[in-house]
Amino acid sequence: MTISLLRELEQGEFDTAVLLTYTLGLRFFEEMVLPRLHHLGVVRTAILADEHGYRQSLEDSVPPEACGRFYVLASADLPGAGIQHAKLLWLQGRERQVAYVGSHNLTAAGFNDQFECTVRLDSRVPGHVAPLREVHAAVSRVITPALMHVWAHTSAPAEREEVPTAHFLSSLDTPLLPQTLQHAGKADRLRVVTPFVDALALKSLVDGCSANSVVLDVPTGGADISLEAATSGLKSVTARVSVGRLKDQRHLHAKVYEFAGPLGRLLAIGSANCTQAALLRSVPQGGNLEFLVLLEGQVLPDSEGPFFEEVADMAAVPGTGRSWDAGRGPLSPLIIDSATWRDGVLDVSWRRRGGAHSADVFLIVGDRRIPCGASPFSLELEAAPAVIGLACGQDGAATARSWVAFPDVLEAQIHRRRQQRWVEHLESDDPRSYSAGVEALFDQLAREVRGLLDEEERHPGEEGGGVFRTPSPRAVRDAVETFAFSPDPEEVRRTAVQMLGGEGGENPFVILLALLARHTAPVPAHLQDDPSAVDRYERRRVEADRRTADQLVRCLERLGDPAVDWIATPANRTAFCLAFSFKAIATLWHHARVGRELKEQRQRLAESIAAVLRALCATRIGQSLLHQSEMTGPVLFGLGAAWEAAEDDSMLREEFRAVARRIAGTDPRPLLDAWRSQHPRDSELLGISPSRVDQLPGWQASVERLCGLASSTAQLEIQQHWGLLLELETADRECAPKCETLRARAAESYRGTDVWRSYLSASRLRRFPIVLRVSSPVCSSCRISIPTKRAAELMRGDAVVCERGHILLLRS
Amino acid sequence: MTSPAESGPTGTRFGWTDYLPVSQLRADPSGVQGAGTTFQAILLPGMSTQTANVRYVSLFAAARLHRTRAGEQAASGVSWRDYLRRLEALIAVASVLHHEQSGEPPLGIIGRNHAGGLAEADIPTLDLKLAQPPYNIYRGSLAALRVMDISHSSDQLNESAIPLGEAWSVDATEPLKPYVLRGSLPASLPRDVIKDVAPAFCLCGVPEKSPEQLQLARWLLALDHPRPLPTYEPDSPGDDIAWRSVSWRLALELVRFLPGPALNAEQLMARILAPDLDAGAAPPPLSACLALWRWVAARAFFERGWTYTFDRALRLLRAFPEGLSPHALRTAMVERYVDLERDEPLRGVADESYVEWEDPKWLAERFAVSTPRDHVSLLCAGIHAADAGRTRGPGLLGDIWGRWAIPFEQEARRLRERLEAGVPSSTYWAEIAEVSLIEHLQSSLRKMRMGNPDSRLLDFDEGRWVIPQKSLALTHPYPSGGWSRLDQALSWARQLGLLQEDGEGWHLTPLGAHLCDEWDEVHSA
Repeated sequence: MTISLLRELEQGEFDTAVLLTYTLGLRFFEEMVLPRLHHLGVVRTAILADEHGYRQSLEDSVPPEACGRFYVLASADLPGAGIQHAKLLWLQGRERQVAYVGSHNLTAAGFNDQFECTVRLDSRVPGHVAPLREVHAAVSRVITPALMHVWAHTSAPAEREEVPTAHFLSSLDTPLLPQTLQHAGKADRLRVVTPFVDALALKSLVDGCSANSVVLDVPTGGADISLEAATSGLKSVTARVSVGRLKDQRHLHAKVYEFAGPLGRLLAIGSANCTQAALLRSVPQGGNLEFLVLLEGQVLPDSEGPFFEEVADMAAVPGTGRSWDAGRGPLSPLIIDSATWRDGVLDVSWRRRGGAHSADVFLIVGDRRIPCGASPFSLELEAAPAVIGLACGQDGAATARSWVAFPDVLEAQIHRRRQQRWVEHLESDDPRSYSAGVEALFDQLAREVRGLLDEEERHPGEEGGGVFRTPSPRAVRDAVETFAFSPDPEEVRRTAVQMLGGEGGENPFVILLALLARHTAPVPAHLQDDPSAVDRYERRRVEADRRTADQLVRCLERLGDPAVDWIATPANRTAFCLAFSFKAIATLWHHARVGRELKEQRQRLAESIAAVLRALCATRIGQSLLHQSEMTGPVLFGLGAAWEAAEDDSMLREEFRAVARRIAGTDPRPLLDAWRSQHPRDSELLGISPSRVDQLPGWQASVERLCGLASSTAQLEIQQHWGLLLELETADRECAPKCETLRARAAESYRGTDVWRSYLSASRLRRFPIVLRVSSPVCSSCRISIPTKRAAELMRGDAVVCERGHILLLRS
Repeated sequence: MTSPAESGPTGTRFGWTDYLPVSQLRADPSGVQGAGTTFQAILLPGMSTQTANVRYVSLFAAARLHRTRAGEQAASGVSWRDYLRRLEALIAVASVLHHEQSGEPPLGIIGRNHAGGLAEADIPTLDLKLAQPPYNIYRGSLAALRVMDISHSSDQLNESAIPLGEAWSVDATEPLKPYVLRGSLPASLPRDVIKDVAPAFCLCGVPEKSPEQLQLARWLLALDHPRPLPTYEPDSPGDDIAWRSVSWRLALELVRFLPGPALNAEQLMARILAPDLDAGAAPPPLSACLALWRWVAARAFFERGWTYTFDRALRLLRAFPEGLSPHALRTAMVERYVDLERDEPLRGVADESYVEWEDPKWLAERFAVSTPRDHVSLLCAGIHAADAGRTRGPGLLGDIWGRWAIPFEQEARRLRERLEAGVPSSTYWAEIAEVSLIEHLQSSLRKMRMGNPDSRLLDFDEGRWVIPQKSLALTHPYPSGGWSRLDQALSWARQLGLLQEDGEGWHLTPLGAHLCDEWDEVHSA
């Protein structure tokens, strides 16, 4: 199976990421990698690049926008003339470490566009613990002070006894070649995949393992030097060039060494080209910092990589002439260790490289040159610069330049990430992002109840821990309408920022409403002209609906787990989470798109709700929570949905009914009315939908059915007041002789009412059925929702007339 | 030599890296058209370049209405999805058969080719076998027109759209009427039957003087549910129905404004920028809307210049497999300009554009010809036209001057600075070329970030602009065209019988004129 680095970053839960790279594509990183890291929960990110890559990033035609604000970047400072050439992605979770070690620079080319090779090490794999500990130790030695505050949040996995299934090598102390050969031993066959090669390195490798046959695989256009030169002095060498793979014509940039000998096979994957700087010299000897991971008994899965074509005439494949360190200038005599801006003060720490000459050093900020005698140097500046430079002498060009870091912003963004994350979910035109948002809400909910959240993760807008302000329903309604209907992505974004920044904007239920509105929004305007984009969007929307439904059920299953310690969680936090859960159940069940998916798994949903209720009822605190006045509406509406979900399970239905009756007695209406009047904002919020139709009357019908109202009180009402009309309709339909008598009686009873006028009008045209039996306040013929007041009358057992003249009665 | 790279006994994942899917279609590769597209969607919601035929709207509305009314009876037959597929096929085959004698079925039939084959069978099977069925294409429009509520599981008809669904004549579908009323259709139908009912389903137009014609036209103009007219000020609420209503009224007014040959695409855009079509001469509610459409026109010419420049830069880059540094790219672009024509100060080209942008003939010529000087002329003309509108038009134009990707504000500043610096036209062209590459990369990355396929045609790696090896085989994108939603509205209006074309150009029909009068009366208060 191939590894897509970008797709790898779509799953998991981590909080810190550290990347090592030679070259950089910061804009690519900001658009494609950083959002994924944020999605994984990463709040601290650091990048250690080679000085060459760092310098190039300062001149990038597509400059970054968030360097120093959302992540920190520093250039490596290795002893000797060594180059930071290792490529690593380290992901640190709460109790987990994952590392990708390979040939992939942090560029679009490295992370997506080229044929690269990588190894994934995961601390959950016992055999990876030892190599991960070695990776962590190696990085700890090269990480610069500027990145230390991020790296400090990482840790090596705890030591274990298991036999390693992979070995990690670095060139920090010893050249890679002898280390590799120590593992490989003698090898009959050697295969080298590399875009850069020099003859001495290759010959040393071949001689070192005494290989009888060698295969050298290079990119389509050849290696940096001619194949003839690269293989000079070697016998039995087969050179091959990559020809891509069918339509997959990517450039080959992988660095792989494959040994096969009497002791078995060994595969080495990493950053090291087949050059002297990579293989024959250690960092103290002026070599590059390189990483390799050795896998015993493995070979490269060629069925997934590029095809290679044997070169018949090596002389016919000249070198590209492009050195692997092309464009790398001389090292700067000045080194900027850190440049930070905080509260209007720029602080710069710098030093001279290796006792360089002592000309005066000037700080360059924009057009200004300021003498800076000693390090650290501070300067008051009103406007924050993105980049600063240092020059030797008043008129000298900048010999060192640096991105400025903003510690305040970096710290604040850890908190702001939460809000930003919701904005990203809402503004996205990928429906899967909406379901991912819902997933994050549910995940947070489950962790809140389990008490797993760090203080750092808690919402800044919380009052007394875990309780949010309730925002203005009108503002939420307007925002929801924008999310559902606006074709303008900027308006969506602006509304999201306003809503989340406003009072109660981070209330999870408000975010849920907003995400659900985005679920139902039409295909974005810019995709409408492209049928395949529309199709893709719709498919993703269906996938998102399914995932959202699934997330609700999984969240409830987690809450219903007997291991949940309800007592350990602060009561107000638990109450808030429970209210949210029941609101979510009702909202999602009645949501047309997600509700359809929930109905597909109605039994699982019903069982998970039942498990939560059982867990709650098993504790005194749980029972007390269910009876709190602010919980009445959410719990009863949630139970109404649960009752409908359990339509095939009478036992569960009885269980839900029993809980509902314990809370509300036989008639929930007075309690719901009281809840509405005591918590008007909550009640209004709960009923919000993009179409501005109040949802609650329909939901209340479910609650009343749950409590058996439709079969008792309302039915009695229907029988007493409207039985005659129903009888007349049956007689009229059958043209029974008694219809005239019944009509006279009915005229006397109903004269002057809208219902009677509608009946007469329809019966004259013989439009049967005239009286429609409905289970919710929506006309089953014209699909018109009944206004709130009349809906309440309908639920009480009254006949009502819809706007298009149909007579509606509650179904038994 | 193969081996499992996944897990295995060691649990180690390793191997070759993969890449994200690559986009086959590159809509708006340089990212410059997003602003115009978005603004047009706000001005005239409920249509796109794919929704060419307005009758789909009333047909789908009617289908949903009858299906809903049939209730359980319908549900027990075919599913809503299957019913739609059969209906779409019936519409397509009926449209072909309705014009069998002339052999020229109307444009905009989705699945036209397959329908042509089906129409030859004695008993055509109602299945177009389309990956992208018509309903899916029109669904967004139906929602944006507020005909359908797609927030429901099976897309319900909005309450206010019931008269629209009822207006389509179900009586005209005899002998299929019982099926339609049941919200169902058989899997196949005899050819003769389809031919008999073809007028009821054909997309060539909406029947003259029919309730369907009236309801559909009234719906688009929002005559039955009039809303307060937009003020087009930055803080005013964006009521999509009101915005749609005014734009539709304006489209019909343009027929009166623009005597002479019928215009479309860039010709229409150039014409509405002309000084004789003075926004002040339009009825008051429409003058502000016209000013907004002039912004769209200005943007169309600006986009043309921009996308052509992008195209030239991309072609140049393809000639350098190792890539070009930013400096080398600009140098090569300047050389290309000078190779093709005489260089001159940017001031000369900008001044000419400043004088000529109100001349439709000059604009259309620049649009059609594609020399680097024309590209610069179109860029300058678009900026000048938008700037002029900003100072005279409603407040919203001031607001959007600096909004969306590649805003006019930024480009006007760039132009002003280059004019002050006295740069040659070629230098400005080369600069825009590089900026267009940057915008392409940024906009492609943004799209990828949102989960869309990789639409990058190039990359900036290790200090060089380069076409990645994997992108070399991709097709070259087209420069932008001049088609707007106004063209689409005029096309729909023609299908609706609100206007007609003769040798002298467009004319409002009596119905079109009547609805305009009614709209004016409704909004005169």
